[in-house]
Amino acid sequence: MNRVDVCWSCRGGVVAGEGFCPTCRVIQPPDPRRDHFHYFGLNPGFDLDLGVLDTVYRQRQQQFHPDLFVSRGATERRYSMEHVTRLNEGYRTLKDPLTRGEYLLKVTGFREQTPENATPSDPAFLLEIMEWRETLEEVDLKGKNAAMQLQQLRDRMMETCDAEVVTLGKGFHDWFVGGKREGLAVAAQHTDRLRYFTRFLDELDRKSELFF
Amino acid sequence: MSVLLDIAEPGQSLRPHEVRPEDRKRVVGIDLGTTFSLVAAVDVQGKPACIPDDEGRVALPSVVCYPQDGRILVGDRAIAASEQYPTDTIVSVKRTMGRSLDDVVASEHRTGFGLEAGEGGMVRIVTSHHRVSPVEVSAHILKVLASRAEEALGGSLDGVVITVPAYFDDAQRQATKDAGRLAGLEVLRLVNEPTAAALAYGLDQGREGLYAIYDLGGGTFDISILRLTQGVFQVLSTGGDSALGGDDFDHLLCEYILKEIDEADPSPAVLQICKAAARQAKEMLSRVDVCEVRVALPHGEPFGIRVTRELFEEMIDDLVRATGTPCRRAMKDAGIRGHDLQGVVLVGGSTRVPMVRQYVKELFGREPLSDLDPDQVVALGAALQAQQLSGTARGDMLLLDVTPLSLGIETMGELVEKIIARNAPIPTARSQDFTTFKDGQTAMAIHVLQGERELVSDCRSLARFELRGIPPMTAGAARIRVTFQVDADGLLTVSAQEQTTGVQQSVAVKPSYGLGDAEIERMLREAMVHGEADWRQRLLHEAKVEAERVLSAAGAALREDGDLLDENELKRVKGLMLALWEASQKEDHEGINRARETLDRETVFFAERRMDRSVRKVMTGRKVDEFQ
Ligand SMILES: Nc1ncnc2c1ncn2[C@@H]1O[C@H](COP(=O)(O)OP(=O)(O)O)[C@@H](O)[C@H]1O
Ligand SMILES: [Mg+2]
Repeated sequence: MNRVDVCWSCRGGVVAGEGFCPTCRVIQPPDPRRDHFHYFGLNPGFDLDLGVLDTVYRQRQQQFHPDLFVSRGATERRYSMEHVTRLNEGYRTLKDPLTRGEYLLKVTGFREQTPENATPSDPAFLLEIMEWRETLEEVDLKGKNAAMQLQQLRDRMMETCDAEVVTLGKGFHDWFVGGKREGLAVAAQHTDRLRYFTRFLDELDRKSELFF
Repeated sequence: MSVLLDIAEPGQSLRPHEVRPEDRKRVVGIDLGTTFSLVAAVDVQGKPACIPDDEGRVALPSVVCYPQDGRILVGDRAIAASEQYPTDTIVSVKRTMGRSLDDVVASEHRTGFGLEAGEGGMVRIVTSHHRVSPVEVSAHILKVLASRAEEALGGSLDGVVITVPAYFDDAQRQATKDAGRLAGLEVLRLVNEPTAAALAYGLDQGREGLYAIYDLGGGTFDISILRLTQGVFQVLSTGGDSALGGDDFDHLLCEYILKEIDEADPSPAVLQICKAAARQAKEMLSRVDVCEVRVALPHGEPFGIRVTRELFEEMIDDLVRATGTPCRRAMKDAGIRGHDLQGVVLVGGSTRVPMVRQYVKELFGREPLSDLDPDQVVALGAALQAQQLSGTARGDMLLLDVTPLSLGIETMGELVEKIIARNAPIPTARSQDFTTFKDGQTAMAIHVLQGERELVSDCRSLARFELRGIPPMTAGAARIRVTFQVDADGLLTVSAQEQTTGVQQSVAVKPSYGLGDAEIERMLREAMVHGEADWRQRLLHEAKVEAERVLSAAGAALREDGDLLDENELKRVKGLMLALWEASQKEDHEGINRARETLDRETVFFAERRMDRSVRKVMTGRKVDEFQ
């Protein structure tokens, strides 16, 4: 059931986390207990219609953006700022599969912190990453095919990432739809892989910029 | 009785962005350019237009001349005086805004005036007889534009929007905002130039979809990728080079001319003449294939120098191509490719160079658009945004911008830990926890940096401060939360807080290049003759806004739950409302606030009854919002 709060302005009842008071229509603070999915009015899960995310993001901006509150009082301006900061953070987190995966592992209580190790602990995966690295090192940046080689490597890596996204998506699906907790372990493993691959892509892109 | 409900009525129907016509404010948009500056306003029909000077010119050259007699000449008058006072004439001051001497010397061309390091390393300009900061010079330009606008609009300005290159860093933005304040202006917002251009374009044509804005001006280059959807202008990514533009083309041509006339060590006067000749040749070459410029030096025969477009294009080839890197990066960051774009918009005088157009066409694989005047479009967009911020716009457009460069702090090993990534939508706030590395450590140095590189020495240092009073603990036990907050102007505030103990301390810093600079602080104080009056005005305004909100809230509550009060109670509440309304018609903010507090206090019982009722509604299984 929805929790009831008191409107800070007219003191009427407001459903906690609703943007505006139904009685006096004044802006309400965001509810810190709502997670990003709830805040965007989306079902929690990895599969997400990015078009819907974009639309909701835009609509909320049109309701809450500080530009619309410049001539209002200090409290209203502050709440508008809080909403939009919250909105931007949620948008950033949910839009990207990697940050969305990491966030889901947090909200499902699977793990509190994203591991920060520079190298993976799984030896097989470490080997895999090292092979990718070697291929990247082997590209002769002074050679005339360098740009093309980097592009090809990038395309291959993108395919690999896409496959990871599918697999980790299945893991989350198993938990959210099938109720199988093992799904989360699978999702976590592939989220970690995706993170290392993304780091690799960043490195590759830094090299590619030499040829821009 | 009904009077009371009536007075609450207008407030009730007011949506945040609806404002009565009599509240129309005098606001303008200012394009503070490297070469030219413009001011624009929105007319009653909602159309933006640039405001011309007495002689019908809209572009004010961004040139300021300080002759020894103490006059301050701006624009064409400064140009006219520049031959007489070559060392007292400041051009392209924007290139020095918010920069250190080292930055400027590294990228700067020969100038007639001198440069030195001022307070906090910030660059200062040295003329033949005095020193002046870039912020002051910019303020002089802004003042001329503001008084032009005040004359046209018939009164003092309520606020301005000033544009900045999207790629400006925090120090450059802060310096620009300070210039506005120094000119005595209320800076409503800093808006990125390409975003402003998109606004003018999009609204003019009712366009939708993905657009790239390619802005090559006199001293800066910007690229922004935006998505336009039903009045929302969402910047997806941005990039650029805040020291690349037509000035650099002039510089190369100027060096060529100097070589042709055998001047290895030109005097400021000769330099001035050759620069003007170079600019002239460059602009002609946008129309013709060959041109000849006359260089008349103070002594001797004038020279005639022939330049072909081919030669010119050879000279600038590297510079033009240098704009490609930020464009590709911006497309990558936005996750799009050239063919996803609906159009590429050209902004800035240097996009008139045919080679630039050709390059843009190749880069994006499409013919660029330039149906609006590329010189005016930024100012027009700024005027639209100013209107929006004054609360008098139609309320159907919204700008969502991003921060151009990553922000972070220094960690072990001279590395930068990023806290806010580039192209993050603003406003934004992010925190990260750090810990102590020595037993009993009670202070921690925090060094704030901006840039994409990993090493501290490769990034722009914005501020340093120290968090003191950390309770002594073993190494790694303290938890220090550092919070970065970027506001809608793109300006950063950093605070730090120790979390593990009840003791909380936080320090907010403003980057040191800007207002933290004691020099500017002093000038600002001097400029604020009206400070006291402004402050009172502001308090009064706030009090009135609050009173209006409270009256509207009380009115809504009475309409909804008035039946919870008996006749006496109702009478008392209405009496207090009337008292507040009467107070709000007067000019005494304390009186208004007292009346408001009284109403608040005396209606607590009413609020409690309403709360009970709300809860009961929910208990009966229906959501509160079904009752609205
Ligand atoms: N026809 C032209 N051909 C080439 N360059 C031009 C032409 N017209 C203007 N410019 C250049 O454009 C630059 C000024 O552009 P502008 O957009 O006003 O810059 P800013 O906004 O930085 O002041 C100057 O370097 C000027 O020489
Ligand atoms: Mg410009």
